Amino acid sequence: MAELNIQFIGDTSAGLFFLLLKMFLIVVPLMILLEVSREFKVIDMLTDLVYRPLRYFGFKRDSIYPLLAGILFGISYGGGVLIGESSAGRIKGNQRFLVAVYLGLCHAVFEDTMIFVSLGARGIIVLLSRMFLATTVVVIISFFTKERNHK
Amino acid sequence: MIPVYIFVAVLKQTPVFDHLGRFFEPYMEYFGLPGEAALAIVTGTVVNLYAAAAVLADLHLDTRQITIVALILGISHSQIMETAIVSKMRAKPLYVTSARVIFSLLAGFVLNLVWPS
Repeated sequence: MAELNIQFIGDTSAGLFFLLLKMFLIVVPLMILLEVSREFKVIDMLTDLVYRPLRYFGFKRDSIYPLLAGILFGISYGGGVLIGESSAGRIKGNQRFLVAVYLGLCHAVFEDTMIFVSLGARGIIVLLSRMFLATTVVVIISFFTKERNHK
Repeated sequence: MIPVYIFVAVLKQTPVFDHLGRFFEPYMEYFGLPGEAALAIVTGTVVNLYAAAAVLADLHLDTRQITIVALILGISHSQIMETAIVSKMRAKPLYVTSARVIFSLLAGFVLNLVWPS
């Protein structure tokens, strides 16, 4: 029994150590990269680029900044930006809902994907399915809420 | 993450782990997953992805299964915290959260169908 316990503790600690090491090696460089891109205001550079396609999905220009912030850095950061922008009056109700739905389904795409890639998942499948799903849902919602928006 | 990993390691030594697996097996079949994967999905949905990763680490799933879990959890995770954030956004948290749960299960179901095992 005592031998079993020692073996159990040994196996668990080793497994835990390697899991943490793997996650650390994959997630930490990614976090540094994201932090650097936040410093260099990558979102500002991307806004014009993604607005062209995204306006067909029902997004207004002012919504792009919180949307990109959430997709890249996570829902808390994107949400914070969204709250700021909407209390400044730049984002109206319908747009707020669209951004929230998109971010709900698809946010922090690099961090979330890399966590599972470190466990052996096919990252590209997870990433593309999430973006495709979120885009489809947002297009459908914006189609049905458009009429109300125009009034 | 560390406490979750240790908890699962201890749980695995008890018959409870197998019982849980068998209990969830019929439901997880729709996603092509073993019953134990339900633990990871529940943990990820309620707590966060790092806790789910700690559960997943020792389940010995293959690439296809891990990817299905990753898709389900990628769409719907940390619901307690993130629903709070969405309600701070004043953007109909009930709709957003239910959409996430429903679409996560739907996506896992579809991925299991279209990905040949």
